[in-house]
Amino acid sequence: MLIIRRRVGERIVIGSNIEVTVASATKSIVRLAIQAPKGIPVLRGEVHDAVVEANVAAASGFIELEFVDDSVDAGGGGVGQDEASEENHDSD
Amino acid sequence: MIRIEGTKFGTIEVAAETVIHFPNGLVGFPAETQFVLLERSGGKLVGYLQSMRTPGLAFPVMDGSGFESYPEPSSEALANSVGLATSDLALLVIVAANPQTKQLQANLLAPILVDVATRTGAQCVLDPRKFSATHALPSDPMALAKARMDAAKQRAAEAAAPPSEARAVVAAGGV
Repeated sequence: MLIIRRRVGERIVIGSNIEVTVASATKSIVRLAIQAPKGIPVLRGEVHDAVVEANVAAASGFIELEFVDDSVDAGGGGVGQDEASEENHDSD
Repeated sequence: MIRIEGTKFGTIEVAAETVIHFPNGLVGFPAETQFVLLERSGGKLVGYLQSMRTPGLAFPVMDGSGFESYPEPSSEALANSVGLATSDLALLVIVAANPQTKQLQANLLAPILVDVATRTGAQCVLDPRKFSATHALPSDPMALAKARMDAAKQRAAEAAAPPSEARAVVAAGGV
């Protein structure tokens, strides 16, 4: 674990394309300005954890949905790209 | 065809071109970068996002385009923010059963967007003050189905634009 002292206005660069700047700081609250490329999610820790928890719950407490029968159609099951694009052309 | 043994549905075979790539995985599952969407042959209310890497891992999902005022910001804006193309999007939400009440709940906090053209997906995280990871769904499946059909009808009626592509896309598989 790396611990770095920074003053307001100073930056930390992570990799080559993520920048964290200390925008302001009080005794108890630090405001951070974060610049990251599209596709790199930046989340508050507790929000991230809530999503992880929901994902884990959905995957592990696997639900036997009453209205889902056993006949999962695996063969043609993926989203059919050809079919999908045809649909889209139709609706254009 | 790619064969996956030991899934919750037994051994399945999926066409390679149906694989959806998640460059960042799902939140909490960064190594899970390839999934296929399995849909039941009947009602299409719920499908499963099946991991290609971990046979035992499948997320129950439903079409997220039926929820009122959802998502916010729009799917296009979300897709743009995560670097997906915005033209041809499917919106899915993960569903789970509440462990205590067994009631179905949808994770509206973190929907899954799929760019259908490139078959690339991402799980986006919305504003936690507006959306819950445990949004309760109607307990009666028929009521749920009806609510969603009504929403679809309403959208179709309202829209001079064609019905949601997401819906069309989700409906297109598994017929």
